[in-house]
Amino acid sequence: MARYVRLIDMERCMGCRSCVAACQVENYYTPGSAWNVMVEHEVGTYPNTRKVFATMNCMHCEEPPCQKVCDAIGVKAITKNRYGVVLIDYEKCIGCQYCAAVCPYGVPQFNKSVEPLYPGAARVPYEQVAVADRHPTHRKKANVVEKCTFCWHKIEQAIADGKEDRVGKDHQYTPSCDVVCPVNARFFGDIDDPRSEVARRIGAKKATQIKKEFGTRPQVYYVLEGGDY
Amino acid sequence: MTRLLFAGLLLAGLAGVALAQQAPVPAPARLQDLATAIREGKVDVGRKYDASDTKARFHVIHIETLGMSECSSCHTGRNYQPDYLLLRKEERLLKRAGGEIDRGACLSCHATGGIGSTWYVGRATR
Amino acid sequence: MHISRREFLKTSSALAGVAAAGVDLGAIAAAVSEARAQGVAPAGARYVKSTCAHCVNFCGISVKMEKGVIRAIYPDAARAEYYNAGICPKGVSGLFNTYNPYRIKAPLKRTNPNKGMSEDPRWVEISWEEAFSTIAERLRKIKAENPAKLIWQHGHGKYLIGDQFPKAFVAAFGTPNLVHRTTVCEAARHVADEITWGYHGFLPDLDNCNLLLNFGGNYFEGEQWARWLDQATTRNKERGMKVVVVEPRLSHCAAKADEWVPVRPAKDVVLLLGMAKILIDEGLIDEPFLAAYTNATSLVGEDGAVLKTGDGKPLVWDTGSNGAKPFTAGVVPALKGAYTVDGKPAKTAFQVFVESLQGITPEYVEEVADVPAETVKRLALEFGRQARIGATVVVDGHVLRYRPVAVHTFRGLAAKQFGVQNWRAGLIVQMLVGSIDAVGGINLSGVYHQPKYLEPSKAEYPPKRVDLNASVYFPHATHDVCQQVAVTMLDPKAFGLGYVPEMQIFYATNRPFSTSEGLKQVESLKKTFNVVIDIVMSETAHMADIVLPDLTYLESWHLSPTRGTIDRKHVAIRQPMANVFNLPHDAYTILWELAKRLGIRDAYIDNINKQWGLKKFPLQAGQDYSAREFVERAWKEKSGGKEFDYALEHAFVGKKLKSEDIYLKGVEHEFKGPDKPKMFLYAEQLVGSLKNIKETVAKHGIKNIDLKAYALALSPLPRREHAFPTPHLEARDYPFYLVTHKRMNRNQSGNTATNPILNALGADFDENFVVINRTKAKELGIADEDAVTIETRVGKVSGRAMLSEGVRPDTVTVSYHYGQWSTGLPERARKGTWINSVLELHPDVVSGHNSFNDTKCKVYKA
Repeated sequence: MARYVRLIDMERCMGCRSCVAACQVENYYTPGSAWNVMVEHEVGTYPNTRKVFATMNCMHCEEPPCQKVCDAIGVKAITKNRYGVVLIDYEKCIGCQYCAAVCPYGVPQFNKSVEPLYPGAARVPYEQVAVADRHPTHRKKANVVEKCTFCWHKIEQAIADGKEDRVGKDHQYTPSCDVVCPVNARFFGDIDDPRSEVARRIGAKKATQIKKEFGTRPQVYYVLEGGDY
Repeated sequence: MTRLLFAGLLLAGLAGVALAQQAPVPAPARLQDLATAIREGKVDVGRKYDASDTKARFHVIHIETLGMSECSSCHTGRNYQPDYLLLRKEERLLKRAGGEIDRGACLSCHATGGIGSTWYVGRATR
Repeated sequence: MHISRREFLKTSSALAGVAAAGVDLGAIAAAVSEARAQGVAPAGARYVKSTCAHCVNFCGISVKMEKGVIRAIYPDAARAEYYNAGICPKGVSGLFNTYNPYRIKAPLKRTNPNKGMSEDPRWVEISWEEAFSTIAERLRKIKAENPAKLIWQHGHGKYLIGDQFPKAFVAAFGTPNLVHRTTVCEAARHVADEITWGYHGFLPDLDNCNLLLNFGGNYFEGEQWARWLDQATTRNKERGMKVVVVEPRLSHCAAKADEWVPVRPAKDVVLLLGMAKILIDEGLIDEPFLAAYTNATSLVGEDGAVLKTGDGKPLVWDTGSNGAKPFTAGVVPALKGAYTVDGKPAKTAFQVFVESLQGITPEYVEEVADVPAETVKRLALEFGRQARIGATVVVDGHVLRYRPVAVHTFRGLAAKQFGVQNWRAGLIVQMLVGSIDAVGGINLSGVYHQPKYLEPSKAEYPPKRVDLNASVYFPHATHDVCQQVAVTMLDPKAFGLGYVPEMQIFYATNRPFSTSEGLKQVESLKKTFNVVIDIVMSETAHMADIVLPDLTYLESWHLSPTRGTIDRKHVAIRQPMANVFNLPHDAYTILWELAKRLGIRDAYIDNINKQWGLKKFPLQAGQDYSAREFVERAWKEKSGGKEFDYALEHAFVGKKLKSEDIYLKGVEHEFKGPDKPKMFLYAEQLVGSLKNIKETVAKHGIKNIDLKAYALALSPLPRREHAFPTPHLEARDYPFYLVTHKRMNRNQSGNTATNPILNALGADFDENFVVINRTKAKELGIADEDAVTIETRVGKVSGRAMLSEGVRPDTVTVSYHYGQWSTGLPERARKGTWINSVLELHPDVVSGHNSFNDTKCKVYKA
């Protein structure tokens, strides 16, 4: 069974935010509720200044507090599947935001409403894709919490197509944020496959998970550069 | 719904808690007993699950039942430094929260071995 | 504004095959349950390969289509080996360039005769027939009177259908006035290249480079070749290449560099000359290269002209025979020294250069450019030592010069009043160490392709073209002078133009918004009948008489331009995957229709064949061709006869170059050794150009040319005076330098301003800021996000402050693609500061390049 992880190499990241845009387009962005954000800040004082770019999305923790709290209150809208992907079922979610309260990474995003992309204008054909034609993770609703799914709809497709070996390689089977990076600062794949690019790079570049004190065991690894972790 | 949710700050010497609008509950001698009482449903903290509603059980548990009565018990009232990469700087933890929350406060009760329900478990690495 | 929002909505919702607008949450829930019950999987997707045209990188894309809807855009993995590994946020969200409810959806006619920023054009929708007949009628009249009275202007249009079509059209029509936009991009860099080695364009050989000095090139935020430069720089930085970025503002390139050198705006040339002096003083120069490949050994007379034989061959001092001779076999030219030729004193060009550097010490550089003397020394020595002068490397059996150092720039050195001279200084530093076309140096494109660029300008007068390209005013401008059209239009007689243009067609360009002194640019549009072809109501369209909607790059065909790299070339197509507003025309068919109506179709076809070089698969006279039919022929021609089905499936075909093609076809082949032309360390033709200008000015009594200024700009060598553009000398009461920069998520043309994804990439991505040094701002009492005013000698503009440690204390910087004001854009797309409206215009008179980075300003709390 593949255990999917992501590596974000902050040394390579140039701060273009293509990954942010790709996530939004791929996952029917709900205005105000980005699943992938860029934290950008300056380091040092003039003239010894540089910038650090870090993208943040769901860590798909091996011990996800969001799921634990959701289970604890009996809602059980959050699951972690056998591929390691943490998902929220919008039909079960009651919008209590307990998951948001316990996530140390600020990931779950609560929507009061699902606004159109162009305020005051008609929904464009992309927005009008019928709900039935959308993957369940893209059936956006008001008053529920949503977050990064590791582009589960693509991984699911890979499984259905018998193409698990192409996850992390082909754009139809790989999370979009990882696909579009112009400088190969993002990698996705099976950490249990010793030949996978992501597994090799995590070792070679001494990547780490962040905020380890919470014991969440994230499935997103970082090659860190600057900042307060 | 047998399990209840709470989070708390260890308040040394907390002897008793006044419970708003509820039948009198014997004041527990220790915070841990109170936590257990909440989890066992012996303390009525309401039925509404909404972390953003200060009248709903999330806040009732923490503020009224556990006595973390100052907002500053959890909310720092300030924004994190822009280089604090663990948080999404552009979003408050809860969008309408009145100030960001130092997660250290949650960790002290909700990690393995804490008195609260265990949300943060296991070791950091395999 | 005639097109009300309601009408936009009406048109948008009238799209064929899409459901009604609005979302019923109950219906969604019901549909979800139903889908669950039936186990419905997402509809099958198909992927269409094409080429992005959102900017000038032309990345390979794979577009995901689901039920006729453009669902997502990914990089084409197969293209990674040839060009782009990924795509930028504009490309990723490119579907919103097409699904933009603010697109122009029908031909529009202005009914308010008054034009102005605050005038409502009072648009009325008209039929295509009315549009074509109105335009054709005007064109017929102009063609009969004087075809030159038509000006065709394009910007990005060049890349949407190829400038070959507009060029063919204007040739068939008979006007010389076709104007592209390069003087807002990198024209001065091109012209510096051209007057130095006979053509333009280069890339640093990053896979072999160990030290890259980047003067304000910003390939991490947006630039030509950015999608190759970004990954190649990142990859090679990991290998150990050191990157030093020299620029007043901390761009993303500087943010990731090993070193940021915040040079004072416009003073780069002095830093480069200071480095040149150190390299020479320390003996870190490649003398054999200078002697064999460059004109450093040419003898220069007291008048600055190179001494030549009667038949025009330059003289060198032969150390063997101790006499002046042309550089032929057996001659050993002296690099340095003063000699007497025919009784007159002469020096080698190199000697002249060495003497011109006197006084440009590290301390002087520090004083002028505010780069510490120590840093200047260290950079120069590091550059000289890393160049490994004399080293060779064997590649595929070829012994090649190995100089792993490169200087790169784009607008950083180019967008200045002395842009040509700034980049000339960069080229000269690289000549000194012999790194040009060496393994690891900069790799030139098309060396000596146009020998005429090494000749003096004829300095023609009266000018033929309204932009004064290649005239006495801009003697070496070879890339059009786009901002000059407006200046000339406001007073054509002042420039000796023998006619008054009556009509302009603007194709996918937002000219008045994109250049300095923007208000003057807008004013000039009152002078002509304007037709605009675009996808959104740009500021240019706001000033139009007729607006024609265009198809987007995801809706139209094109044999796309591509960006070849040092060792890869490819041919690509763009293919349509939607037509959201069911438009019957794009610029291709608009031109075709106009050519037909004007009775010039066959001449147009003839010129298309010439412009595109269609020899095996030409268009035939007497026939009409759809865009697809053209692309099919052009693809076959350019791909060596490859089947079109292959193009439809893969969108491109690429090839890898051999090492001899990369390293031995350029300066090695064209310039090396005796009896060959030389690369110009000393731009000797500029001396001739100045002479011709003086004669033209005297002959015609031209009043608006300051010969002293032209003599400075046309200096055969870069000088310290080139660090002092006009505002730096005159605007003494304005304490700040004002420079402009680019951000990844916007362009100036208006079609990104409404993109809901690009505006949501982070907090405040829908507006720009006045970036001020944090310490300096505190001194001025300015806090983050305070409203501030920027005041220049041109005018005032307001904005919001952003405090930063990433900008010099004496400099403010503003990105140049916000603050749009066209009423065809919604309010939220018009946020920010239109900085171009207050920039002074002092174009580089050699190249015509716009001076974007020379203005001085005051900044204060509003």
